[in-house]
Amino acid sequence: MKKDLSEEKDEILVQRSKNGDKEAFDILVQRYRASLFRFVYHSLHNREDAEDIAQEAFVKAYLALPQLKDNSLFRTWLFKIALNLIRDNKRVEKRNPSLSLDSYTEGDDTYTETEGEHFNVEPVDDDSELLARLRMEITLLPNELREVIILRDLQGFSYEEIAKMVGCPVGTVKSRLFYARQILRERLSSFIGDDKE
Amino acid sequence: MKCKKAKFLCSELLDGRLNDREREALLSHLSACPDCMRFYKQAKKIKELTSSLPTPELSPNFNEVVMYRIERSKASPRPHTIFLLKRRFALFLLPLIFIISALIFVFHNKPDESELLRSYRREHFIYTLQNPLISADSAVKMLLISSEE
Repeated sequence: MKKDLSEEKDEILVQRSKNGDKEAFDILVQRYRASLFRFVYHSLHNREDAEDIAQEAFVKAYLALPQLKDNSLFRTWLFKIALNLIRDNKRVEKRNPSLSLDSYTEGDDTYTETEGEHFNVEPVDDDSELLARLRMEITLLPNELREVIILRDLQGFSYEEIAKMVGCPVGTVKSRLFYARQILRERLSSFIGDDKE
Repeated sequence: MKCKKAKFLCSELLDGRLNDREREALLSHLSACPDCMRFYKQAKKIKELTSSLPTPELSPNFNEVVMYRIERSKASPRPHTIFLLKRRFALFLLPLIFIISALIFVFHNKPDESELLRSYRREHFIYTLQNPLISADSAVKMLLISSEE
């Protein structure tokens, strides 16, 4: 019995896409579009830009498929393409600060508190409000910290995969994750409270 | 274990990256240190919340747009591609133009043999005229002989 194409592994779909099978690539888009969009959206916080960049990442991936040597690494490779597009977008925002939501944190290499508006310090019981605050604090993180925290906690990539994508050693990924979590905890500890787990 | 190291390891504990020995040591520290335990619980809560951050819905025609953009990109090379091609072409072309220009300059300005010979005879004639041991007649004769050769 012939196996349904949508159940095939990435390696097979990528190989078929390399041979010009658009249906196979369409299944890859279907498979990764939600997680890729999620990654881009939480990096940029602009729905339209995020969707545009996610689509552009797929287009770039398709056109560059012949350069992908190991078909099994398609997911990591796709996210790396998206990460580069996000960085390009951030660079444009940096040149045009009026376009940027978090422009005032750009270029800040130190992992210190951002001088910006912060919220009233009172514990919140509702997770939705806490989520909104967390989302904002992630947006305010320096780029290199935001990248690793989203790739790890939102996307579930391993340290090794993140290191490849971001282009740094695994030890750096560890310390960036630590710093990111420490900053988020400091900024949100008042809202979480002591008793909550 | 010091609190600073314990807090650093908490991050790895959350990601399941610690081996049994490190894990045991950290848990032992956490059970004895309320401050680090609080740090761990808050970090754990933030990790859980981060993984559940809401994301808006994608456009229903997302795939169609991707496939359309692929077709469009294949039909006409993007400006970026054209720029790269132009840049590669220029990188190849500029040294080639330089080499060709240098060769033309060298060969174009190279004096031919007869010119060299005439120059040599002129200098030799002047030398013989200035030499007090050689008479002017002899100098002229020598010039005529070398010209015939």
